[in-house]
Amino acid sequence: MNKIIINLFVLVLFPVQITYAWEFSGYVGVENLTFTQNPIDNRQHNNYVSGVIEPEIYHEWDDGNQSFAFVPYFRYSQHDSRRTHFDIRELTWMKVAETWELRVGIRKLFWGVTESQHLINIINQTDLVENTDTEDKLGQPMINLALINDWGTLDLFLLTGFRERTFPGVEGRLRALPIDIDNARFEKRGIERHMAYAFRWSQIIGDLDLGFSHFYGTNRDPLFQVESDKFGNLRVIPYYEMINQTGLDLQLTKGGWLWKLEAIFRSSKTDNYFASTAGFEYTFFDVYETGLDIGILGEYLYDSRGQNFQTLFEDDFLVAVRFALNDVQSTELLAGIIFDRTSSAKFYNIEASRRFGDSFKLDLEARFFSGIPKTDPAYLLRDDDHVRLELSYHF
Amino acid sequence: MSKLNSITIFILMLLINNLSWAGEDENQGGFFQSIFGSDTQQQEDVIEPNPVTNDSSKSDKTPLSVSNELQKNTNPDNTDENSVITEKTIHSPEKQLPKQVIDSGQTKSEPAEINYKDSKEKALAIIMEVDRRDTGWLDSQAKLKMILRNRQGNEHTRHLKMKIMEVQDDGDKSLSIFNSPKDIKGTAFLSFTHALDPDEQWLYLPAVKRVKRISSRNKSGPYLGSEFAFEDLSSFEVKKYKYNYLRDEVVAGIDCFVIEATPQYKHSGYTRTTLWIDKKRYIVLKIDYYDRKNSLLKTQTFHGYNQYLMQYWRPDEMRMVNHNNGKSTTLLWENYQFRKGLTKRAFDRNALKRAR
Repeated sequence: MNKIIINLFVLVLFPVQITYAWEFSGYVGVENLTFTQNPIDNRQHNNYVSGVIEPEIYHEWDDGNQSFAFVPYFRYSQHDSRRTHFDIRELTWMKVAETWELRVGIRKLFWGVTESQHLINIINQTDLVENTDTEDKLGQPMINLALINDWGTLDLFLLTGFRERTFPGVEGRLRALPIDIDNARFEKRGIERHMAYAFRWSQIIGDLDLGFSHFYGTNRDPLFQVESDKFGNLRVIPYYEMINQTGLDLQLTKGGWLWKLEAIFRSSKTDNYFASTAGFEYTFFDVYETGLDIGILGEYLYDSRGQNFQTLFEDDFLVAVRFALNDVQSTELLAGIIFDRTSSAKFYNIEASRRFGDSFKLDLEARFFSGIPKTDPAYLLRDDDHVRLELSYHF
Repeated sequence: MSKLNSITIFILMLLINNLSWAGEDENQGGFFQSIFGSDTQQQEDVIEPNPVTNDSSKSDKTPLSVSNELQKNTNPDNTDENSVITEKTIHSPEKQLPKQVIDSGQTKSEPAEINYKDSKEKALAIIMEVDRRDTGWLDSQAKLKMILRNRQGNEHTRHLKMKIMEVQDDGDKSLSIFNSPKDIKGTAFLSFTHALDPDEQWLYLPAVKRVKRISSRNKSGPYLGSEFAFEDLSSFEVKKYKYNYLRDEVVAGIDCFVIEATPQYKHSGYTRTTLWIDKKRYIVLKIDYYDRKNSLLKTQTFHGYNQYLMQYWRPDEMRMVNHNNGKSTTLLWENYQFRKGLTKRAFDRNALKRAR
């Protein structure tokens, strides 16, 4: 740690030396988010312009066995004050040895194998204002010790500090009612609500990549309590309870096939339930010797809670196709449909990206909802079809 | 004389190493080159008294055109071809050729005096020697600049770092770390290669912090949008191909064995490849790749070989020209390092996530 402090000191006093000892990289971008239908609430808008910056400062020493990373993040958004937000995605010191790795600080990490949703990925809170696909995460303070052995890698986590989920503001989309995040409720108070504990064991056995995890602490997914205040206005209040979640993830890789399974069992005072995502991805590589890869994805999403306000995917199928041109511009496209077997609601998703020159990248995302009956919780999103376009410069 | 012999052996070893490096990281050609065995080489040297060879010099540009001509002539009229080469050659490594002849005569380890049953046995012996000479470097790393050129001459540059660990009796483990284009900085590719069994591969995507096990079936697809396919850059293993010795030939002024290698692993984009192996150093100088329709698709050449650890040869530059689309890719290697004590821990999923 002394080394870090000294290095920070050097960074401040002798910026010229940064070029030798420190790596500086990151990106800046502008985004346009357009909704194709008028909003349910007339305080919302049809178009939002925003800007984003995510620089990264990185330094390693001790022959690469120790490193320091700092990744702040800021987005400014038109109209939606909640979406204008700052976060520290990463502020970590890491020490690597032959049989263990220790990480202390704020980090993001990912567990899982499936594409439609990430059930077992529980360590980081979702940054929902950043993107509705729940793929963006807030930095999580932690101490993480990884023990690396022949019998696999055992990651132990002490998660110090709970992050509440971000939600769009009154003028923002997508949302049903504005979430009253200022009055969020917790099952535990004080330090108990902030602490969480987790472990994950992972191993490779031939073609099989296997992981088993357990988490105890404040749930990252809030329940929503709908109340009316004294003026008769409805309020939606997030409620974070304590949970135990056991997770299993595995992927079997055979030829062009990837067979995937994620399953969780979650228990709390209010509910016990099981959820799972299972499916495959098959890829046709180098089609007609053009370099084009075409992947076909199928996944089934199950949640034992059934049709319920707390989950969108309780009996749903994903069917998707992925194109990778493998060209100089790394052009890629993923298009998919998730349809609800019970309610026959459909959710269309298209994601595409392409590099321009050596430093610019264009990302396109389009999401459409159709055929959603009033009984489906997705009904709240029925008028929120949107197209997101982001142009970023990477340095 | 004995010194010379040992030197040539070292050189061959280096070349072999070079090949393996390239193969693991991105340069299969490199591996190929290294494959060819030195034993046969010496024999060949003795056998081949080409007066032309002495004059022949190495010019980087000539090999391609020459090679094409050569390939067309299945029948080895070496003299004609050699003479063509000599005309084009710029530098004449006159010393080298005589040395080779002398060395080959004297070298003891070389299976020069073995009578091979047929051209396949001879080819295999050459490859085995290439492989033998490129064994024992344990681990290696290097920086790589990849320059992609299209037909119009527009260029795009990528920067990578490669780490490779030798695995006895199996394919090598390799880790490729992308530094540019900047939008994929930190992306890393981990590969455990195997001779005939499918490789094991993982990809790390830093933006979402995700490690993905990926299918290793993609052999023929382009690597990072370049003219190198994944299989061109995977580690060289003798068992991956069946070999046939075709002829001797001079490329860029260097006496070479010409060997045909036919992929035995599944999903290759090639019906066959032709390798030019330096008889003295047992390193690959040139590879022609024939597509699934058996027509010449690409030519890879190796330039600026240097010897490391007194044994292992590695090129500073590899060029891949695609004859179909007019595109080319140049790989510039720098800062080769060997035997840094890398263990399997440098090639696991944990290392993949923090690779820089």
